[in-house]
Amino acid sequence: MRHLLSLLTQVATVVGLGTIWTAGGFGLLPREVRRHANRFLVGASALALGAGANAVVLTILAIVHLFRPGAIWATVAMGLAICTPCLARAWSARRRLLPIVRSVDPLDRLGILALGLVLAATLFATLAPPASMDAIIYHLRAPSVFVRTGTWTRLDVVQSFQPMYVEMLFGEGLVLGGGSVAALVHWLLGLGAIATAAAWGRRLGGNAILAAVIFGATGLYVWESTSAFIDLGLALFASLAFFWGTQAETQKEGDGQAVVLAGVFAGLAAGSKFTGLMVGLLAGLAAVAVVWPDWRRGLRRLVVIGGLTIVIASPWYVRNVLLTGNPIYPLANRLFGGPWVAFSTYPYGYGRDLVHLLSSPLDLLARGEVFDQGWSLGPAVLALAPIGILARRSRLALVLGASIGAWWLIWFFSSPQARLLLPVLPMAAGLAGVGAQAIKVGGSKSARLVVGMLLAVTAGGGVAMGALAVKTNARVVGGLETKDEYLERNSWHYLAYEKINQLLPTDAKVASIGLGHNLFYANREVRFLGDVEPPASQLRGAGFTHEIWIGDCPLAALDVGRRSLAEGTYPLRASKLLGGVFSRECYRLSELLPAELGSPP
Amino acid sequence: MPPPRAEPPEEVVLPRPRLALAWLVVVLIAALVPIARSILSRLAR
Repeated sequence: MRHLLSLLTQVATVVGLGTIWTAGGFGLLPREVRRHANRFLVGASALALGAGANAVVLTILAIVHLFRPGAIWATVAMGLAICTPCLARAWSARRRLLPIVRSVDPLDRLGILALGLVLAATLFATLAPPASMDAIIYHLRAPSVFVRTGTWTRLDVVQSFQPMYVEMLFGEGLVLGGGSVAALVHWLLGLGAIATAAAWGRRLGGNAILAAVIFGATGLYVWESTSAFIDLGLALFASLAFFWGTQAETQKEGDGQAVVLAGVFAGLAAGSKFTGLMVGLLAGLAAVAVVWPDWRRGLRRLVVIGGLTIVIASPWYVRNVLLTGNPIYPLANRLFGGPWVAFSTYPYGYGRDLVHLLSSPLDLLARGEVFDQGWSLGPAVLALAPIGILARRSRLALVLGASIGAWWLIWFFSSPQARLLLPVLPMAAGLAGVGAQAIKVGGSKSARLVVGMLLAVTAGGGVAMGALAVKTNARVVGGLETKDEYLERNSWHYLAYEKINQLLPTDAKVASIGLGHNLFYANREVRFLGDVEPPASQLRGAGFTHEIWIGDCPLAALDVGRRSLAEGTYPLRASKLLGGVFSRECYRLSELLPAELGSPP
Repeated sequence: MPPPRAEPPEEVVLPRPRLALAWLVVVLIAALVPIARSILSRLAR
């Protein structure tokens, strides 16, 4: 009973946060925008604007060393006070705000069913303690360290120099309800991203429901929304930046509001990941292209979007300059006079030549492992978006196609991982919704059948991944397994971190050597120092009191100046496809002895 | 200022239906490759 209550509290917390952000964001939207006929757009914009404004406030708290539970709770209370009148306004406009699905098309109903299953499965699975690698290396660890220190402390992994607006929202989730609530914040932002896909579908005259399904009912979406990454937040901001940036096509007079919104959302995207900078650039260029040849107006639009992108994202880039001298550290570090720093060393993709570029959409699906599970994108978006561009025959569709193409080029030649396509996927799904509509209206029976199969493979992948996530997490969510048991199975090195939490005093300062850099669950001050074990005297001199060494078995003998507190071994779990066990690791937790005790006899 | 319109007025028109069908089939086959590979590897075990 207590467990069930805890689960309900976590869901209620994230629903409460979502309500505060959406109602607050709704209040911040200009009146004309609030009355926009595209309800999916209004809902997504309200959520994104409220969440984004909250993230900016939390970042300011971190800058002034107030990113602590008390101040974060005060932010929530302030948000509640601000949003209450807006809540009443939003409630009175609920019929216009909430999209009412009146479609009776059987395919749409199936799509809604698949999407509903995916959302229910991901909501359930995300209630488990977060265990995905990137989340516990930095997406959750960074905000948890920030909360502990009260400020945006420098961390020990290169990924922690990414801009972190979405992680600041995770910090709020951590304070309000712990790791699962933080992960559910990402789930919530994903819901907004799905709404933008539907908004694109509606705007382009395609099938809004199918657009939402093509973006949301995919393996990639399930993986993301259950993983406490930030990419769905980035997709939400990026999609809206493009949406409002290209709005001038239908709104010649007074496009200032739309362009300002585009700049704000592009700034939030650039403040959430380095790739968000490209959103600012491409959304700005798209904003010019839709009013061309009126280049004066286009230039004004570009300046507004570019300026707002830079201003809103700037805190994170200024932080990097202050910490490293390079605003985009570790990228292009040599340009800023520093040494080359490895960021992503895995060579994604099959090659960088023209043939591989042209075959990359099909490679993603047919042999997508080297694109970090490219198949998880599902085939519907790749099949139907090009048809949507040709079928729509409008400047907007061409501009969107060119934007997606430019993103694809940059993606292909930089780091072709499937999830890095997410920022342009909602609008691609909107175009795919147009493609689906075009086939429905003008396609042969065979074409309609193939589209049905493409949608079935796409949504089937999403539902299957959702079922897998539920199966993996059901025992811990259902209270049949403890958090520790679950994390020992699913979170690498958790056993070693448990020892830190059990055996070390709360003021211990721990050096982590070897493999232990996913430190979210280590509740002490731990700094990852890399592969090489420094002498004990050097660690002592740097203020460390203990050392955790994690590496392939067997570990070297205990060096001088250290006293072992705990040692052990454990398997690193992997999928059944990889044989169940990835490798076997050893750990040793040692106390660093004072110099007089540590010197050799 | 009146609220902006949401829907574009024109109907969508499918250009080159046969070419579109061919493209759809190619993408579908590409998507079925990993599924077929997975089924075959399970059968082989």
